[in-house]
Amino acid sequence: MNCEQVAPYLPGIAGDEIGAETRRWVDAHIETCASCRADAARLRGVAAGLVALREREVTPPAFLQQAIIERVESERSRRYLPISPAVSAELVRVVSDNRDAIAQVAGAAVAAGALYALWRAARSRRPQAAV
Amino acid sequence: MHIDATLVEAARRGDQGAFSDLVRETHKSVYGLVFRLVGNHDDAADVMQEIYLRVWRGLRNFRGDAAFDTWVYRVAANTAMTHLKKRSRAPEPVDPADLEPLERAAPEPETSPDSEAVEEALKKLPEAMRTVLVMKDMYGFTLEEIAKQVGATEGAVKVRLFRARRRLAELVYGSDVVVSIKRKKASG
Repeated sequence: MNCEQVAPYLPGIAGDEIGAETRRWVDAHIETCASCRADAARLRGVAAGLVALREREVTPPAFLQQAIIERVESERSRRYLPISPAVSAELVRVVSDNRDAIAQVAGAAVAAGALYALWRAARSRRPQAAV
Repeated sequence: MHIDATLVEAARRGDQGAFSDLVRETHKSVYGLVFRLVGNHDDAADVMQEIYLRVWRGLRNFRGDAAFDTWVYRVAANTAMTHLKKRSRAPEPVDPADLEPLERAAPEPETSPDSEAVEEALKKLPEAMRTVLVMKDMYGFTLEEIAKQVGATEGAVKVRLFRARRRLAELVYGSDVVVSIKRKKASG
């Protein structure tokens, strides 16, 4: 195996992208070739540098955390209720405070709807008067 | 970053306070990924807001098959790549100075460069190279995941990744790895 054949695989030795057999013959060549060994060391060096770089924090702008929360809150309000967050919060409070009464009204509405449907059905089955 | 599963579950049930806590816990590390993908603070701040909107919308369907932070990183990479695709409709300006090695003493070939030199070199890479390096070598995405994100085959991503590693080594060390390969080809 010569340098030209090994060269395309050198960047792969810094990661997990070359197979075990290929790695074996690349490693065997590197053992005997100072030039390829230096290239491999550089590639491993930048790979290690990239891993270390992840630990180096990039400071986000100070406003960002609050901006994200407000954007999500705004989307949440817009999606569920087409009114302002303050009004929607008040509405949620009123609904939760009067849950039982709302359930009773809803039950009565359903019952009335069912009775109306029965009445319509019974009426449609009556024979039509002859004209 | 380790995220408490009960916090995720509370946010999933619609607890806005829990969601705000998740943002507080995760946004700094997610910002690191996004900034390195899009390359500037203005775009990164816009993309971050879009990411957390997607996270909030997707939380209901989050089943915990992957860790929460892994899932958020995937959403982040996907959102950043969508942003880059939109941005790339305008041609990326190429400053010849960006293609020159760094103006600093090159480290010895046998030593690891400091992270500042790597960061500086990373910024000089073309976007297509930078994104695969950041996703693969910094954040551990698989070739398959990157291929989906960038809309290419795994083979194409691997080729781009290898070129990117070489280019980064050239920028950091100053000595030209590609030249040494050409030399090898010439010498056979």
